Amino acid sequence: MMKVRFSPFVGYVHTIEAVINYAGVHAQCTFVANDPFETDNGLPEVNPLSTVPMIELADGTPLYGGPVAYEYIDGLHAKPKLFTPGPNLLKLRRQLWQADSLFDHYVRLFVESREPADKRRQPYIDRFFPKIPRSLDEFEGEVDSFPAALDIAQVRLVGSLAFLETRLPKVAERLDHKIPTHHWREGRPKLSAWFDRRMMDPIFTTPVAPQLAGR
Amino acid sequence: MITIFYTPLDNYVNPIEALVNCTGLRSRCRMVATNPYQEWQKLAPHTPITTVPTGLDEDGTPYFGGPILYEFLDGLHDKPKLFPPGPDLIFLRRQLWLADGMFDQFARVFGESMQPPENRRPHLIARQWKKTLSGFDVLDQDAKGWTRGLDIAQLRAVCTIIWIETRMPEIGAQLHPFGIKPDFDWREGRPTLAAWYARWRPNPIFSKIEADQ
Repeated sequence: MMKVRFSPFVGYVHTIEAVINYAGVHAQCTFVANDPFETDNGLPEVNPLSTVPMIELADGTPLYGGPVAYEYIDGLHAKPKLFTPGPNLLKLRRQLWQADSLFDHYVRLFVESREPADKRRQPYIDRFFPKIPRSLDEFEGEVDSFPAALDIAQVRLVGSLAFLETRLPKVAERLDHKIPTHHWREGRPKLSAWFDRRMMDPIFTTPVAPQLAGR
Repeated sequence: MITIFYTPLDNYVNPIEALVNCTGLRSRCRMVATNPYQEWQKLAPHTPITTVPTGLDEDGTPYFGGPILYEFLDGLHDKPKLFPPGPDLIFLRRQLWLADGMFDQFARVFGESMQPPENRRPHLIARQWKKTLSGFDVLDQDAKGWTRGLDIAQLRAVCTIIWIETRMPEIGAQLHPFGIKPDFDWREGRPTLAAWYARWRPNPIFSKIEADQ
């Protein structure tokens, strides 16, 4: 069995869950809820960067970095690969990096919002926030060229957008609206329609481990 | 020509510089010195996340995210591959992720050292420094398998260590109240990593590249 560590959130299905749902490898997995900001949950001992998601193989070998974990799981099934082999694989990796960064930039703003109001660093916020709308705009321009078949960049993008949908407005609120009250769908009709269509796929709405406590 | 936006820094060798040296691609690359903080507008037309390194191929197709650009360039030469294909590649990607991540974590420690003392965040410094130290421990384990040729994880790890090693005196001078000492020696207790580093650091691929503009 491999151990999958991730942070369950109520009402949210992580990209690692969507990948496992797609691959149909639940029977090979045990699931562990980990808060990456806690230090007594065993995570730092297996991943020096203390990030989730990550997996530990049956022999204890750790694989971390979300994209690394996704790619390993993608090697375990016989369906069409999410890391589609061929000449466009590097472009796909670039899109995956960009979709992953959307999530990371949100997290940076979230962490900053947890600081006391008088300790926040506005230049930092001003530097990171614009990366989110710029990236969304680029995906709006690219979405028509996304392949019909699902791939890993699309899976990750769905995961990032689903997170931004409910949480970015809350972070704006916590930051006293020092970032625009931004909804990612505004001005991006193609991306919005694509997202709604993809979200009809149950891989994006079915938790792999409903018994885990979410936050 | 391939265009590469990167940030040359004193006493540091970027992995993109080492990679261009290692692969013999220098004559095909136009190296553009870019400060991503002050010159993000130069990057924004090519990458929404305005990070370095970012590369453009002859058609203007962008490659960003360091590991993405490294892999693109690794496909352009005929020497032994830095991303060797095969079943172990996924484990190499994990090692690369760590070496890349350690750079980012340490950069945040560096960032704190540049804050006025009253603005520093002790919890953030402690957290990021612990990740740096733990990362060294895992690199020491990884180095046990680094007995043959160079690969992308090793190349990245050499550059991360150069970065940390050269910045420690100034960071330690600022952050010693947080237990970070200017004379911190990552080699202590990590003999495998130390021996591996001593073997690779003198390699001329770990030399700076003069920017074209």
